[in-house]
Amino acid sequence: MVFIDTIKKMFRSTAVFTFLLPFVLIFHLPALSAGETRIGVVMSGNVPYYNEIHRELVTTLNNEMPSGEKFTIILQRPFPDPIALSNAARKLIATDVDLIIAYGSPATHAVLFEKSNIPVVYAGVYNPDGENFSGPKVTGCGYKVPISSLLRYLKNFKPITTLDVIYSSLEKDSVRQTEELAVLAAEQDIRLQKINIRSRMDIQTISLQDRGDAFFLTGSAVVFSYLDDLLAKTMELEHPLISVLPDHKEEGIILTLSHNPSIQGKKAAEMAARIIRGEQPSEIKPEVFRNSELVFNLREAKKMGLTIPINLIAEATRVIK
Amino acid sequence: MMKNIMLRRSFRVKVFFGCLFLIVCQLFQTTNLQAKTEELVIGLEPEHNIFDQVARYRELTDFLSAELGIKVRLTIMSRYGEVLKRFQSRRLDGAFLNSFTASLAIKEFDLEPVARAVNLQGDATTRGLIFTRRDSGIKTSGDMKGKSIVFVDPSTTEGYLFPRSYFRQQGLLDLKTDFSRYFFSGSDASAIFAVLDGRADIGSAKDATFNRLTEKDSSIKSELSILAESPAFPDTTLCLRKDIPGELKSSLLSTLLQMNQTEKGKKILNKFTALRFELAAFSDFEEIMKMQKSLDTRMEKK
Repeated sequence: MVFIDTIKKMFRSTAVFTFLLPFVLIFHLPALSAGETRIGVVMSGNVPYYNEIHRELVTTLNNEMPSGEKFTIILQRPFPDPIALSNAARKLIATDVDLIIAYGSPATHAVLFEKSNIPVVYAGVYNPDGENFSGPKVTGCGYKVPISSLLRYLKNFKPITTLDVIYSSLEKDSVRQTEELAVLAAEQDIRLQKINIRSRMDIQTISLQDRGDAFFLTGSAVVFSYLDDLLAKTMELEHPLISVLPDHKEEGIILTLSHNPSIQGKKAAEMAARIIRGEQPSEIKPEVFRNSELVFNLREAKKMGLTIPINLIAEATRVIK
Repeated sequence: MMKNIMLRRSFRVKVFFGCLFLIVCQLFQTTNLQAKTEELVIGLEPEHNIFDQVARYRELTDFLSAELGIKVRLTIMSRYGEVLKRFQSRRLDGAFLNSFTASLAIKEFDLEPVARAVNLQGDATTRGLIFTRRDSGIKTSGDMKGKSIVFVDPSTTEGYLFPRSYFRQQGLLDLKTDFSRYFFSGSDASAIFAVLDGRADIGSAKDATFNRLTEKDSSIKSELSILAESPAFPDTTLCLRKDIPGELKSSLLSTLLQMNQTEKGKKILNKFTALRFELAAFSDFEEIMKMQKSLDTRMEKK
């Protein structure tokens, strides 16, 4: 009897909780004045690359908005796992924002999964053509960098027979990069070892035994959210790290070939402004940026006793000394 | 009578000193010329790997020095501007010039194109290529509008003159408004890598460099798509000043043209990555001169 009462109490409290949740969420989000455009932003983790996109987005939006038009941004930076991202998307939908901007593939998928009528603009997604972001309410921009070039440069300063690719199976674009790399590696007789990172715990359990000649970091939100932990772990081996996302701290990754995030931030802001002015997302053509920046970190290379040939350095957009 | 004798003597003295003056002048001129032709200074335009280039040319100039009995010295120039200065100050007797620089130098300094190397594939000409990444979606000139482009150098036929001329034919007249961005990579290889890496959407470069890179790494060919190819242009050509003594010029030319007939010469040619040298002619540069005139590229040089 006591047991049944407890169950009833629990049911009642859960129902009350479920009923109150939207109000609690709305209460915790910033107060919005009437007439203001409310823009919800979901970032796939607290990744510097997405933060840079966001900074440029805010700057451009301030210039793009019609004069006198005010806007409020509600920014969500959940841990890049599906549940946290989904909760962040639901919060914004419950707040009835006018527009949602999503950074990175996981956040975009989480927002689109909710199937709301709120227009969505995405940015910072690797090769969005492969993501199937379909629907009349979605547009955005992404980037594509040639993974083959990264591999070519790496092989020019270190012989590679086995390569460790660090990716996250939680993120579609990270998986696609791994698949692209697998094709290239097979063509070039390079053995590929996959390291799947779904949480911080996965980094701690990476075995340093039988590792390859270098690490390839895919553009994964999970991987870059825990980059410091990952570097602390992999540095013991003194193996070069290369990546398709920039190393904002410039400590650890020797070679990056990446797209400038500010360009995506600017484009996403322009798209958002057009939607706010009344255009439908379906009228705005999605864009894939292919221009990239090649950065060599000679300081880190030196620490590892690696010499980058001068003809490679000559190709660099930027060299960190 | 005495007066006549005195006049004749005075005339003889004048004639004697006159002849002496002429002989001294002649001697002085000969000595000067000998001193001048004791050394032949040949200029080089820098390639991507300058150390490799100097090593290749040094063996050739050492061979020429031994065969001609005079010192043949190499000097690296920076750009067309330096070629101009050096020929004006007469501190260069000749230079191995790319077709663009050669065309201008022939026209402006009355240089004579004398010989050019035939590469290991039996070709003494090069072609310019315009290319993009295969996955860029660029197929027509309409697709090129608004994209970024990498040229090699404003003083190259394959890496600037030809693509500019091609774009002009396609109605893309203004680099600043028809393209989102343009820049110069400084070398053919760098232009190719810039497109491969996505640092530029469209690139232009010499076919020889393109072929060399794709032979080394076959993945490059599979990633790039060629949008246009130029007609054949003369490859690097040795051009000489016209006032170089005829005998020296003939000896130099015959040494170069006959190099492939001796074992020693063949060995050096092989290191120079050439089969032989062949005669060059003014007519080789006519097409380039026409293109230069139509584009007035000198005005646009950076």
